[in-house]
Amino acid sequence: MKSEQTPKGITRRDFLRGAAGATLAGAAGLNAWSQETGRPPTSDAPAAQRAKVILVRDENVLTESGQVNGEILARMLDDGVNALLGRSDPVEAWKQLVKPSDTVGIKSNAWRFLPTPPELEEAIKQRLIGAGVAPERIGIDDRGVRHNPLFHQATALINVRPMHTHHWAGVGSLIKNYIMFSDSPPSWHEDACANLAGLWDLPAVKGKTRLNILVMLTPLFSGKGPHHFQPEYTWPYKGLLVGTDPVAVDATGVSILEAKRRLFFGKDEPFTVSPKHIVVAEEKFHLGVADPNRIDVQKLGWTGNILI
Amino acid sequence: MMTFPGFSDSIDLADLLPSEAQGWKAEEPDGRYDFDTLYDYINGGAELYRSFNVRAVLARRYEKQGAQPILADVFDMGSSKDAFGAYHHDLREGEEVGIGQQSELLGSSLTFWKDRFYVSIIPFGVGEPIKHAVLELGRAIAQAIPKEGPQPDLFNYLPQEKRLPQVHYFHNHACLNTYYFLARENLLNLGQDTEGVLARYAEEHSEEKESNSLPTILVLVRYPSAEKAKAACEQFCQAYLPDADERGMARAENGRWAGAQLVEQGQDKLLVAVFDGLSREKALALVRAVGDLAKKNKGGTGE
Repeated sequence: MKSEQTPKGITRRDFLRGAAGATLAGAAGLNAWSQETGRPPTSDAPAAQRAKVILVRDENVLTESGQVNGEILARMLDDGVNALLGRSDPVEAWKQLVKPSDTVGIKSNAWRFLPTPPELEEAIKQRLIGAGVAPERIGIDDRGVRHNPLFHQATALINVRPMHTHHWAGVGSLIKNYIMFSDSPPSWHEDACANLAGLWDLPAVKGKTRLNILVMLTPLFSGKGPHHFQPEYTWPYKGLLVGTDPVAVDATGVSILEAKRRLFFGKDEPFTVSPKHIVVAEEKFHLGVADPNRIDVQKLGWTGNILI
Repeated sequence: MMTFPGFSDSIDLADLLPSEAQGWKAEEPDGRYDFDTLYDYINGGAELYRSFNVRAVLARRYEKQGAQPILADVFDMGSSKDAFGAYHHDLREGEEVGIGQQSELLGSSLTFWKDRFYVSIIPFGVGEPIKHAVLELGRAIAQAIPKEGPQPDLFNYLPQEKRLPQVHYFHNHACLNTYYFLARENLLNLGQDTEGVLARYAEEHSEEKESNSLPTILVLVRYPSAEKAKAACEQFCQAYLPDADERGMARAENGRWAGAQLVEQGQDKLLVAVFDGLSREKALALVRAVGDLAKKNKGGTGE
């Protein structure tokens, strides 16, 4: 039987499902996509484009009962930022990220089950102050960013959130963390939130992000129900992922979740909803590098059960 | 089936929840949400429950000294069909613990549905004591819901042979796309006035080399009128199956077979769509089996 095809060999069904390779290949998960093709199927990003991500872990950052050790967490942040920027002094490193004249919004995440640890918010704030930013020009917010005057005036953003699986987007990612800058968050939910990287073109956001920190202390690797949370699906990974490329940091986080899912379920267990927005962020929005083969992950600290 | 004549739409959800279980005590005040305010509670997750016509939600937090809290949410979905749909949005692979009409215990988290209520009980911690408290809470809530309700009658038209246990009920195309990604566009004209079911069928391995672990997907949709069913079927076939043969079947890019037909069901017409069929014959056989069941059940719409 003849199949109706376009000159490029894409059928009408492909087109309807989202002809870009990202939409189709992304359904399999980032690693499967990468291993199969070596690079995004339709990417026009230069093959040489690479990204750097720092994974820093410390076995003692959480107590037996799961409490965060703020001192250790702050040290992990310093180690990560130093390694990312090739510095040995965190104050100097942060001076590379922000200027004293900046107004800085720390875009956090307040999800009740897995919020950005306040200890990490505070550590970031202290480093910003150390870099010369006045305390009154530093704001921390999540759901209120659209109505927060400081975020309206922000010249720089620090993007920080924990990673967890998500019922609409596959994963709650750094890319997704800017959805609260939108006046209509639900409007981004179509097609597994494929176009979330478009958020990064919003005027309140565009070109302002200086650092992305994905919190991997107790990531959530699966979830169900109204809150998409079960404590059994978290584990003490005790890590932070740090980078200037949000797509690369997210892709690395997904690789860790995929590895954990494989371990937990005893087989390759695709995400219920594909985190395709990460691949689309590279292919369509050119926001960064999603292909794990083009991400250099520098690992610092504890290596037990590192998974990647 | 037990019924309570006094049980009415005006029930206060708070009456369904106990004040204490195994030493965990209810914290005041309860959270109360409706169709419009549910976003305040569960953000984007609200969309799912809105798609199943949620009417009201009560959230109660239970605390115990020295222990992690427990969060119990009771969703009034307005009908048992939509409570069933909300429950089956997720794949249910955990332990059935006999609470409500269907339940799943996943670690220490419990979910169940009964009548028009969908219930989720999540502990913030793990361990046997908190799990026992979760189960006691679940049993108490289920007991306070005085009657059971029917599941969507569309399931009567699903062939049983080789059907996998995971099923979904839906109204709109966003939900369908979560279960089986069809297209960005709403090709089947789905909306709050339509109802559909999706089931998966395990086909036996054949000589084909491709992955045979891929189940065959069967989708049934009921429209508010035969005219709307016909229009949706035509639109879908033109857009998705332009290369279909005279029986509405086409071989897809993955080598599997897809097709769509209308099947008479009493006064109504059901749209029956098959995806990822192992062969044309097998896909057609599934459609035929739906037609046979529709004839058997003709005229009835269940509730």
